[in-house]
Amino acid sequence: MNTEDVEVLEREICFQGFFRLDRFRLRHRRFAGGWTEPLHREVFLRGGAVAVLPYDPVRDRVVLIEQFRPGALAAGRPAWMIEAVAGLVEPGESPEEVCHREAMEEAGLRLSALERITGFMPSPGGSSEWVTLYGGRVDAGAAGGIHGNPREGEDIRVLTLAADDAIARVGSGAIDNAITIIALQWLALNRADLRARWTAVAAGG
Amino acid sequence: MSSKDVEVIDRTVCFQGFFRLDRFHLRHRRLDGAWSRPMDREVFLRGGAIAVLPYDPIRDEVILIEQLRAGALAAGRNAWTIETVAGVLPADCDPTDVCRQEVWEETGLHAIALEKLYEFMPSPASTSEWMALYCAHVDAAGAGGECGLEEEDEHIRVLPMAADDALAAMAAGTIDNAFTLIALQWLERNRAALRDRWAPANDEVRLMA
Repeated sequence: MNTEDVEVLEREICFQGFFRLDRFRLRHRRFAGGWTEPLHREVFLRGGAVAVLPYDPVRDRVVLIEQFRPGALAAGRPAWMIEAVAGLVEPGESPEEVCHREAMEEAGLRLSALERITGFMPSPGGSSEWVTLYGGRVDAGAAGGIHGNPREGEDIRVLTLAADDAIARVGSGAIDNAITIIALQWLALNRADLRARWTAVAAGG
Repeated sequence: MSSKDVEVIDRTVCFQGFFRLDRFHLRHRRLDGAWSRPMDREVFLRGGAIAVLPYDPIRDEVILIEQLRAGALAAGRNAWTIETVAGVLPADCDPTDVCRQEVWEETGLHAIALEKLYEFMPSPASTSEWMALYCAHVDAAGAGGECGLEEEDEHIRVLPMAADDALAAMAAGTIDNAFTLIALQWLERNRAALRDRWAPANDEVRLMA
């Protein structure tokens, strides 16, 4: 099936604040043939975001950030989360530019190489959010401290962890958000190759 | 930091339909110890969900499903996504019971055993959704066709595929939703051990005989 197999009959803005929520009236082709009756589906509108896992291939350490997350608060879960660096794509900005900007703003880091890991929807049933995820090569030697853009109310603690320790925290549940789990599982699966590639480039450069 | 380091000053229901969106007026303790200024944060309220990757350790196959997803449609992406089994977790229900029920409804298969992989938030900045992710031991014989509950307007195509093909689809970007990626990465890291646990060598011999 593809986009030709959906017909949007009507689309209504239900809420517009900082975020927006729309209601779609639609029908779609059924796998068994024919079309469904009209259905209502509400969607939380987000748009594009970019996330980057900063990794130091020489020290074999990752840099993660800890910050307050309102969604976690509303869920009654621990509201300070340990995450990869992430931010929204501004108009006219490339995903790579967002990686560099956010790595500097959120963690004070310069990225000396970027590798696209994957692109995905965190919650495609009810949200249009789309994340492009990268690995970024960093020198984690001086990473740490408090960062974030105060104008955006950001208040961020920078943590550096041995890659093994970070991967173990995924297994123990201490790291419990989709972006960071995907990034660290990717690192666990690709670490040897990535270190070889990135340390070779560093030596050559 | 903990929940005592946040003060919710006010909470407003902005929208209540099938879903709900609330605005929190709050302040929180800053890392330097002072309190932040009050800020407004909108949150899309979802609640708990389960997702299950059905895996047949003897055939080395996973069973994924294809269905229309309105969020993907609104994003201008292919609206039919390939995913694991998933469903809402009602507050008073046992997650493993819901897993078994959803595996049955969405694939027509019985979950012989369940293993919990992770519990995580898909998008914690602005959505309260959290998800418990499992892998289910299934016998994929006869899997395929269409499933889903007509009364929930579910129209689902069941896609049994070799685990290697699913991992290749993940690498190629054909599978592009968070919980399915997390489940397949987990499988890639744990497949050999999982097969040993769920399908000791004698079972493989029995299937081949």
